[in-house]
Amino acid sequence: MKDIIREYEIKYEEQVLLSYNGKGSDELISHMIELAKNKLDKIESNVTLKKRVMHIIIEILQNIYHHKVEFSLVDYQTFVFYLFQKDNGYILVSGNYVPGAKTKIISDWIDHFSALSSIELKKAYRRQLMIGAFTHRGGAGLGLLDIIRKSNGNVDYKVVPVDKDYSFFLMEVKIGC
Amino acid sequence: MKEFVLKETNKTPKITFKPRSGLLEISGKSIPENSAQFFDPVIDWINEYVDKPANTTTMIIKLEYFNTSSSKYLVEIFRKLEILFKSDKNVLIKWFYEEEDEDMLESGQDFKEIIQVPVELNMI
Repeated sequence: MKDIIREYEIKYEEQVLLSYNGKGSDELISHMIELAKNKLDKIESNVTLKKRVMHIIIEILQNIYHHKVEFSLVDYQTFVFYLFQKDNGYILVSGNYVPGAKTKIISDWIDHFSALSSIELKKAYRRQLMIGAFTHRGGAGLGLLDIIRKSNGNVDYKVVPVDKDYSFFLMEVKIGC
Repeated sequence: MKEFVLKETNKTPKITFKPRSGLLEISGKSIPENSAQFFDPVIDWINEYVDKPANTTTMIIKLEYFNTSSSKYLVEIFRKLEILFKSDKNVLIKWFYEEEDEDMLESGQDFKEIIQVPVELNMI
């Protein structure tokens, strides 16, 4: 797992805007969101792109926070998050522990929706929004679909098995590049 | 029925609901980690309002950011307004977006598509 994270660090070494590797908390997530906003306010003049990146950052970080709550074992609460600037766009890399059985559900979801056209994605998003079904955590369940839609399907992932119960799920989202 | 007022925070929007004039406004950021905790009292107030509404209800939405769990609650609020609209009350949702914010415009279009209440999209 560390090797894969290191690969990202080396690949985008020159363009890192924000990086974090450690345990999370509500307060930390809030600070990271603020920090990312301050950085983007300084360097990005395209309002749509800036707000799109912020929107995806918020969804990713809050999603990680919600999943963290499920874990009773502190060892599984570590996550990584990187924001890179590349060409005229941005790359977000996040990683967190996910129960092995759930990785297939998430990866199938990404595979399915990232293959859709923008019109199909819009329809799928509206359908999901209309259903109004909440998950037990109070999340909306359509966060991932929103990330896929706003990044035009530029979502990639890697699953690194850790032990018999958990895998580390790494997601790479490209926006505007 | 009392006015419902909440101050804006760095994660939750300013809310000003005035039952007598029927002017209901949500503005700022809506990115709470626990959306249920924030929105449950809002929904409770709307439920009460729907039972005894003003003749005209105007909901103003001026959001800078909102997370997807907030969007589900917005749908829930709009569904309540649908009840009023279907009972022949005047109801209008005014959705505001910044000129260069394509995604906020698109979000307004998403709601307009799925909600059976007139939605007016306004550039700030």
